[in-house]
Amino acid sequence: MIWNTSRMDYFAADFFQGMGLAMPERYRPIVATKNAGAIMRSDFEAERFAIIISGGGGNGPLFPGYVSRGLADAAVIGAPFAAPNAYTLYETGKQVGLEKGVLFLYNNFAGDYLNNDMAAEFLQMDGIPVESVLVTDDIASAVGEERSARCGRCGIAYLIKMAANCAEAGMSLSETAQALRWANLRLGTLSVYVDFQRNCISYGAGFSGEGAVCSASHMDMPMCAKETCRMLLSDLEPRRGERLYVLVNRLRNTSYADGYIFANLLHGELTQTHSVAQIRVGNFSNIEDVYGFSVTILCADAEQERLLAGTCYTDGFIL
Amino acid sequence: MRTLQVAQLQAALIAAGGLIIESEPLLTELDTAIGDGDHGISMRAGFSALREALGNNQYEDIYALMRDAGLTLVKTMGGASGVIFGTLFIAGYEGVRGRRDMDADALIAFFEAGAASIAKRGRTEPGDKTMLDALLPAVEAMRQQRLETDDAGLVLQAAYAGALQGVENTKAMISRKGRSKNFREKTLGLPDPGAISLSLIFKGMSDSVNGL
Repeated sequence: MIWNTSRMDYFAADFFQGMGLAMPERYRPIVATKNAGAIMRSDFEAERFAIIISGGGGNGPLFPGYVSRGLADAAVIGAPFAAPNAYTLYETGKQVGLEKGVLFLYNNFAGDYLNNDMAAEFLQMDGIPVESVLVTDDIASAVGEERSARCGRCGIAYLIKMAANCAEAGMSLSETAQALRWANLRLGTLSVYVDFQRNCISYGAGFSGEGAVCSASHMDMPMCAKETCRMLLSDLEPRRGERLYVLVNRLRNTSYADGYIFANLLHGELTQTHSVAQIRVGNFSNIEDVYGFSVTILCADAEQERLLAGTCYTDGFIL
Repeated sequence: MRTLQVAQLQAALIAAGGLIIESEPLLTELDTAIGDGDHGISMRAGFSALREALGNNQYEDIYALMRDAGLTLVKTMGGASGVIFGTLFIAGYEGVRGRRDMDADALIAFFEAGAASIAKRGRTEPGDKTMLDALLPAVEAMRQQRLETDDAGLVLQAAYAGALQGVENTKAMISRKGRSKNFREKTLGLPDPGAISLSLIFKGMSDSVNGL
């Protein structure tokens, strides 16, 4: 949750002002409007296109925590749970992407594509090239609909890293967008909520009140890890030559230790049938006030693995 | 033939803003039942800013008026509503550049452009239970009314009647867009809050120009 103060309209602005004060080596707040704000890397040099990530405010490290060398160049957020407005996205695009263009990277929610699309049109009218990539990794959303209707969750973390690596490798804006769209198709995330009051584990519940796709009344962590892997693998169906990149995201009330214990169990399950290239544990996004995890798997082939190389240290996690 | 002057349209938009602000509790109540509950507050914020911007300005032409109205909504409303309701005024403004009045045909063309652009941006189709389900019947009612009269004020009045019918139709729809889509069957029987807001905009504008 977030302390609902009388300055709630300036949530993003105040948040980013504080980040800039606390870590001037890393962050510089740039645009602040009512209900939205933007922050950029202090060390960004516009020698290539700019990677701008955005989404609703109040998700913890998503999105400003990903503004870092090797990850995003700027982040734009709105009020808690609401997408940032098109005007703030446009102004941010002008400030950081003026020279070589802008890559908008965001999770697939209506408020986000509406505002990013409008901002993209405004930037293009100014002659600034724009590509937009939507992330659709939530395997429990849009059940029975096409994959492109899914929402986005924490899987965007890996696409942000890939985007930066593409840019550093000298790939063009459109080549980068193409590579990210391809990787998005091999990306899946599942939430696992653990309710100790009702003795119940829910899989696939969303953070805006969406119901779980299934729930179990046992409270056994190894069984939970097994079920989590089963659901993700049956959705992703890893292919020959692909290795798994895994993120274990601790939701807000989860203990530090349990994150690693759960990761160890997941690793044991996954390596029975697949090759795990990397498993990371952290607080990658903490929008949900619950005990539990979200688990992300990216199935990467040799080409994609090349774009996942290197290690990024942010102020909150290692990716 | 009755046309609408810049100043009349300006007053009409200010009146529509007033009606949206008054209706905030109703919109909030509905959106809490089938969405995330922020529609009323978001609309109030946007239309308060619109009233302030339009109240302090004089406009050369309808293009400048509509541009200011649309961009103010985009800037001051977060989430989806800012773009959707902003687009209602932004989509058609190029068509009224340099014009100081709007006849019935221009009015219809203006909102037709809005509806087309909202459908495209929102990736929305009729029946998805969105504001488009009020806007499309409003535009259709304007076209029908135009067959009878060339009075722009009466055409605007027909838009409100059409929108109201659209609101009624949304009760039988299941939400397929935005956050309310997660409520699916629970949305059945209730009207879409965005559709109500759209009907209120037409009511405010129509009442203002027709002196009601």
